[in-house]
Amino acid sequence: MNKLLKQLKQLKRAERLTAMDGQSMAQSWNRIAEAIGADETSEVTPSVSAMYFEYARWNASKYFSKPVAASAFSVMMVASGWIATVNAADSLPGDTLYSVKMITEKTQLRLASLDRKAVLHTEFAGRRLQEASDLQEGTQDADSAQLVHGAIEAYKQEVASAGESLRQLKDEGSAEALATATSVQQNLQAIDTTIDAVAAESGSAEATQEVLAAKEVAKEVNDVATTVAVEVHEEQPTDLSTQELKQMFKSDLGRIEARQRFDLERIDVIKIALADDGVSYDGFAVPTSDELLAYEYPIVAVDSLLSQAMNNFAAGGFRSAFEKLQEIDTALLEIESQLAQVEIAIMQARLQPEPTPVVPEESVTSESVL
Amino acid sequence: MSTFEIKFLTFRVFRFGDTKAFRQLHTLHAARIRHYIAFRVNRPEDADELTNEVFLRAWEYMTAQQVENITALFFRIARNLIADHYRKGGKTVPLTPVMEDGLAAPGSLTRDAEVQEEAAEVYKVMKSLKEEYQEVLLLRYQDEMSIEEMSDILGKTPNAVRVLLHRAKQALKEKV
Repeated sequence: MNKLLKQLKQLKRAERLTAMDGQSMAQSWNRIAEAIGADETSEVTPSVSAMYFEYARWNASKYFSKPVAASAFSVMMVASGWIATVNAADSLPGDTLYSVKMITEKTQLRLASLDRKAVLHTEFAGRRLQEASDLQEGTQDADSAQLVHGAIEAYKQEVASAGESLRQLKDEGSAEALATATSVQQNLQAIDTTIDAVAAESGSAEATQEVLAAKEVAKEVNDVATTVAVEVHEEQPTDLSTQELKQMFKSDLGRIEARQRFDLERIDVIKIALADDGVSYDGFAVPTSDELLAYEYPIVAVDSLLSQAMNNFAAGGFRSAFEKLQEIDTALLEIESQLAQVEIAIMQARLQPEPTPVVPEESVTSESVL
Repeated sequence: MSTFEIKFLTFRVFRFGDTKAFRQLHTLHAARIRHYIAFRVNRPEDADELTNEVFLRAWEYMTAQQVENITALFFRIARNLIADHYRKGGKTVPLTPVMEDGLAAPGSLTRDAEVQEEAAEVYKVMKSLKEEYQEVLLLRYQDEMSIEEMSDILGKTPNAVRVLLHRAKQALKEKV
């Protein structure tokens, strides 16, 4: 049977009889181009860089179809028995009803138990990010930029508060610490994609820096959540705590792998943008091909580090496994910060106006006068 | 070209009707699509015409909606067009014209004697298998498709494709 299968593969040699040479490829394309009305000489499309940013925006918008904040808000309203207006729930900083939304959130926090508080803070953090994103879609004026800055700061505070509540829960020896740690981690990961979308939409160096700082805060709290879960398990290992740790590890692993893929795609896009002849990058801090490789290698090397983490986890070394993931997370965050700088430089180069051609002055000679 | 670059090209066709991007996709896939079709139709002219038709239909589809897997789309369209091609002639789709018309059929794409000899041995055995087994073995070993690609083309889950492939190989083993 194997001989037969080999022979089937070798039939690909017959490809030389069915292959398309350059001429037949061109003929095929000419017929297709005529049928679809393609005219490369007169067709006007945006530059490759512009199309990339549209692609990045479109990609990011796919994540907006998962409104964690909105659904969480309505569930909380029902669970807590409060009646809230729909308008307040959708309001943004600067709107009249936004203060109603804030008062409602503060009241929920006051009435909630410590474990519920930690989870509420992450849900509110998601809302702050969604508000930042919604504000960015509005007019790009100084007031709007200030409101976006405010929303991102508020996000950072909510996430930090979630971390504090979780740590307090653990210190008090609460039985809810493990379950709360899992919920906090899940919520943070659900809104992780919104952070990337806000960064993609920002288009400004300052906003991108703020978002990167927000990611660091979220990472710290994620680390708190996994550390709490490991400590609870170490103090009293149970089947439930083992299960929770497995779930959290799988979740963290998936998140890092997704970031690894996304970061490699970002590098691919940077390469495409830098190869675009229609844009001049003189005077802008853009990397050479070798420098881009220096970004790429450590991202690819994440694979072997992830294998180490998985081996540690499989051997029961939960703490060292999570610490390995935290190391990888930190390393990726640093590279992402550098990639963000490159992307900002590319954007700025793309936005610069085309130089107006200098028309040489006519010199006055006796001939020209005559 | 990376998967990301291909997806970006596909997006450019969808969002901007970018014919330059479509041409790059054509350059990447045309030879493979033609190879797939050429083993399943009698005449080179039919293979050329059907290959062009694949891209024309794909253009109409791609400019209307974003396509997740463009390679799978091209092959699905090719498969459907081959079936239509034979339906018009009142015939069922042969696995390959070699098996229907004989090795030395005029206009046969496999006139090469060495290839014909190998083909004869393989196809003699495969002709005795069920059609779906023949299809999946050819896609895997002749067209060298991955399980995921086959799953997209055949409209089955990857697991179902693995099971089908396993059964096909078992059936082939029994015939040998």
